This record gives sequence, C-alpha cells and structure tokens, in this order.
Amino acid sequence: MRTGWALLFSVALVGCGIVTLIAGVDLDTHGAIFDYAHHSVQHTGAVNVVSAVLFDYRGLDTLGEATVVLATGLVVAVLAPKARTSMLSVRLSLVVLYGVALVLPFVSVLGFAVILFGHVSPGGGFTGGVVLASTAVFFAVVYTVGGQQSYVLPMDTQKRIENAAIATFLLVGFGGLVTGGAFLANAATGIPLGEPGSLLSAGLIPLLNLVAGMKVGVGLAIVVVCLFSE
Amino acid sequence: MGAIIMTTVLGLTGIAIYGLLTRRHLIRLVICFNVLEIAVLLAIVYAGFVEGGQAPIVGGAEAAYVSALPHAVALTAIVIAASSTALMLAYVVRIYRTRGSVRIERVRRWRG
Repeated sequence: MRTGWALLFSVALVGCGIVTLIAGVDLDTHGAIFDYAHHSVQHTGAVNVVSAVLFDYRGLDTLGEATVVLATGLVVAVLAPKARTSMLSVRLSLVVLYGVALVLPFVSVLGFAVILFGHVSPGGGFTGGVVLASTAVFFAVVYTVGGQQSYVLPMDTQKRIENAAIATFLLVGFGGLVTGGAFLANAATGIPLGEPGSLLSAGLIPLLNLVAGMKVGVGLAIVVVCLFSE
Repeated sequence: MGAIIMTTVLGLTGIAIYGLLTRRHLIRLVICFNVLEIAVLLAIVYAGFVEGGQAPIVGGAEAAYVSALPHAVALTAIVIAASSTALMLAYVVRIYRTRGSVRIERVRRWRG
C-alpha cells in the first residue's frame, strides 16, 4: 500500500517534468546571461573561465562554500571523537604497503599541479584539494596498524593549516575591500594581471586557488579520517 | 541529445524520490539523496550546454564556448553534496551506536 502510493507519487512527479519539457518551457538562456568566456581574460587575466567565475566574479560564494566544509569538519569531529579505529585493523600484504608508498608522492604532485595550474588549465583549488585529500585516505586505510591510526600530517597541523587557509581567504577579501573598493576585488586592487596563460597571471586567483585547495584537502581529510575512526 | 539528458535527469529523480519514500534503511536513504544530487548536477551542467561549444578554457582563436557559470555552480554543489553526505553518515553512525539499529522502524526511542 505504502509502496503503491510512493510509486504513484514518483511517477506523477516525473510525469509533471515530462509535460513541462514537452510544453516547450525553454531552459536555453544563453543570450540573457553574461558571456563570461569573452570577458574573463580581459577582466581577470585567467584563461580558465570556471576559475575566473569561482574566485573573482563569485568569490564571496566560494568563501561560503569553504565555510560549509569547515563547519562539516567541526561537526563530524565532534560527532566521531574516537581516536582508535575498529573497522580498519586488517593487516594488508607487503605489496599493498610498498605499492601505496610508491604511488603517494605522484598523487601529491598531481594534486599540487592541479591546484597551481588552476587558472590556466582545467582544474583548480577544489579539484586539487580532493586529490590531496585522497592521499590522506590512502594513508589512513593502508597504514593503520592494530587500530592505531597514522596520519600524513599530525591532526593539530591539519587543523592549523585549515585555520590559516580560511584566515588568508578572509584577509585577501578584506584587503580587496580596502584597496579595490569591493570584497575579494582582484583587478581593481591594482595588482598586475600578467600575461594571460602564464603561471604568474590572473592577479590574486592563484593565491585563492592555493588557499581553497589547502582548505578543501585538509577539511575533507579530517572528515574522512574522523568517519574511519568511528 | 537534450531529450536523452533530460530523460536521464527525470528518471534519476523518480528513482531517488521513490527510494526516499519507501526505503527504511538509513544508509540507503543517504544513497537516495546522492542519486537526487547527481540528477540535479546533470540538469545544472546541461543548462550551460552550447551546441558545438568547447570547454571554457579560452584559447587563441575565437570559438564558441559552453557557459562556464553552471560549471562553477556544479563544482560548488559537488563540494556541498560531499559535506552533507559526510554529515548524514556521521549521524547514521551516531544513531547506530546510541539506538542500536539503522533501520527506521527498529530504532528505539526515536524521539528525544
């Protein structure tokens, strides 16, 4: 009976969607919205338009997003405070231990490359941060011996990095407010934008990319490690 | 192309809503939330699709690019989705430890 109603409701919902589409409600609004691709190089100096939108045009939203990750880390750390793991005490074979040790440096380099080249190629702080967080996951899964967890970085250092990252983001924001007239202002602060496409270009975007990458990498690592240790 | 993607979006939405209404296992409810999020992300990214457009990395020659704004929104949404999933899982673990089950009907003292 309950299943029947649920099925009916789901089908009705999807039916409404199909009717909306067939009735010709046009989702195509490309003409109406601002054409970022043809202005972003001139405005921000960043070749990667997604980075330009995230860290220049909509920088305030990105700060809010980083705050969500910070809050999640806090709440998960409060909810799962155990230091010893119960579910990861399996002894892995030598091949896994040495294989992961071989792969980890390359994964770290990839993460930092994705972060630092975020304004000239696909990628950016959030993507690279997740890659960096995966090294912490590798470490937590493989090198947990007898329920005693090991970390890439000590937990205190991770929390310090996270706090320093969000503080730098705020400082850059208020610096833009003072010198450029707007929170997180980039070109308006008078910082040289550089040659578009080169590594040192796009003003403050590479710095914000690095900060967001550290923030997301450490934040997700804390969340995952806390969930493991329950 | 558009019809296929919108059908997928609606199909995933239907599956997720049905699952949310009928499942009683808390982990499966979290999975349903994730399926719903994937449907939403697909719709958001498709909203910026331009026929024949390139990825929004500005090159030398003038070309048509897909809109970058939905990509940025989707990137934000992915991070938020990961955070909310982590929170939900942490609460599920907590409920399992204090109430003894992850099935809704077997959880003792649901209130309070």
